[in-house]
Amino acid sequence: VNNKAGDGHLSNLTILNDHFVFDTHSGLFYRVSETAAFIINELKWRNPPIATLTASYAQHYGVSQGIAERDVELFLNDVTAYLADSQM
Amino acid sequence: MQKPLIIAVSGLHRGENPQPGPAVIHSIRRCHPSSLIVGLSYDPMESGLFCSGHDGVEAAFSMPFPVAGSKALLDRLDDIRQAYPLDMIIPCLDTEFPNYIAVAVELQARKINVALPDDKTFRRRSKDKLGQLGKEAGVIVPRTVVASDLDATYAACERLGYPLYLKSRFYEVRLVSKPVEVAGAFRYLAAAYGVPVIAQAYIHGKEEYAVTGLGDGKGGVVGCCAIRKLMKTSAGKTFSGIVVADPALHKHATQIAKVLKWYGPFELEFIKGQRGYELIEVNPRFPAWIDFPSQIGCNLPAALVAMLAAYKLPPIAPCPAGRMFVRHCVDLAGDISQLADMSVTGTKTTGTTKLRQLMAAK
Repeated sequence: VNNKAGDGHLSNLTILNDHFVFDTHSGLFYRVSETAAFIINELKWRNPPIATLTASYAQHYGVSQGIAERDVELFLNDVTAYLADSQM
Repeated sequence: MQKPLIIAVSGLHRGENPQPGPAVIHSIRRCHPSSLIVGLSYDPMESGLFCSGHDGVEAAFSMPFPVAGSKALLDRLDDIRQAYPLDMIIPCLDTEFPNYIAVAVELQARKINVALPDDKTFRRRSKDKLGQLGKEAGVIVPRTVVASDLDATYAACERLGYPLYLKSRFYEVRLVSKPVEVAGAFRYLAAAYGVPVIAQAYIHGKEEYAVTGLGDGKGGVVGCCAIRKLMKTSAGKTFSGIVVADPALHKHATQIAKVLKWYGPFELEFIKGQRGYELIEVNPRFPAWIDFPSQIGCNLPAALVAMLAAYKLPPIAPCPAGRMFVRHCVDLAGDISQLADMSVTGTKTTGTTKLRQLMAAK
């Protein structure tokens, strides 16, 4: 996942109704959780370092830094695995 | 002031294997409502003959099957011209093109406009020549082997490895997973559409894409729309699609139109595999979903009519990513007398009043 144009890139993603992601290049779309949409939006528009992302996640949802780090890491792992799988 | 036009359209059936004709007709009427549409029919049960809405025809005539040859086609068109002096024809079935191309000069002499590639260009986009076209256009094409008999088909399958696709030159495809399935698939395709059959390597990709466009004959594209297929019928026909805005797909479409200097409608079909978009077919006509882009401002059939009639082109909007269509089937009420008319006389004429008005306006 990165923020340059092309397959699997954040600039192609549009978030609808806070829970629905549409990739304008591939035409693929997904239902996502509110927290996943939050992370995608942060990465797409601000592209912060992971530490900043987890801090804003923790603040936005009122959770500890540890839980935020775990949530963000699990989500990014899922996305990375999905993208790797979809290229197979 | 644009004069009213008499436009013949074929491919009128919208069954489980929907043909493009009714969608082309509806698109034309959105922009050229005074046009009179003449249906060219190959079967009295074609659903478009029973349609009285915007995608119906004012008149229809039964046509000789393409196997009857180009002279039979021209003779029948001359019959039709006696009653309906055609301004243009939009063929919507792949199998019709060789005959139309063969009589292109005669059609021109009769002042009937048809957007046709020349014979060489038409052959360059055929399934057995896709590899060469792909090289010229810089588009990836799956490995393909042409086979004229069963032994050659077995050899082709061994060469490509299983699974693979067997295709006829025109329609239908069979997925062949092991040697025991080869003979059945070959015999079916050969019996239905003749030889050769085309063996095409399987692409390990889940997503299918299609691009429809209109070539200007000089290497340019008047307009185009790219979709990902969301739903398909069991026969592989697109039943739902969503617009995508991938520059790579648009680049492929414009390159192919440029290399071929394509004149008229086209549809490109791709599968996205590990190597990116792989081109699997170049169809010389509009797809059955062509009225979808027309509804969002990209009316390619209307643009084709304008091109053929030398009218100013209508505005063609880019199709925004995320616009989508879902096909919706309806039941058309008809009467046995309609079936009898087409079966016995080979003619349907419900548009005589409109014809009189149109001829008076000409």
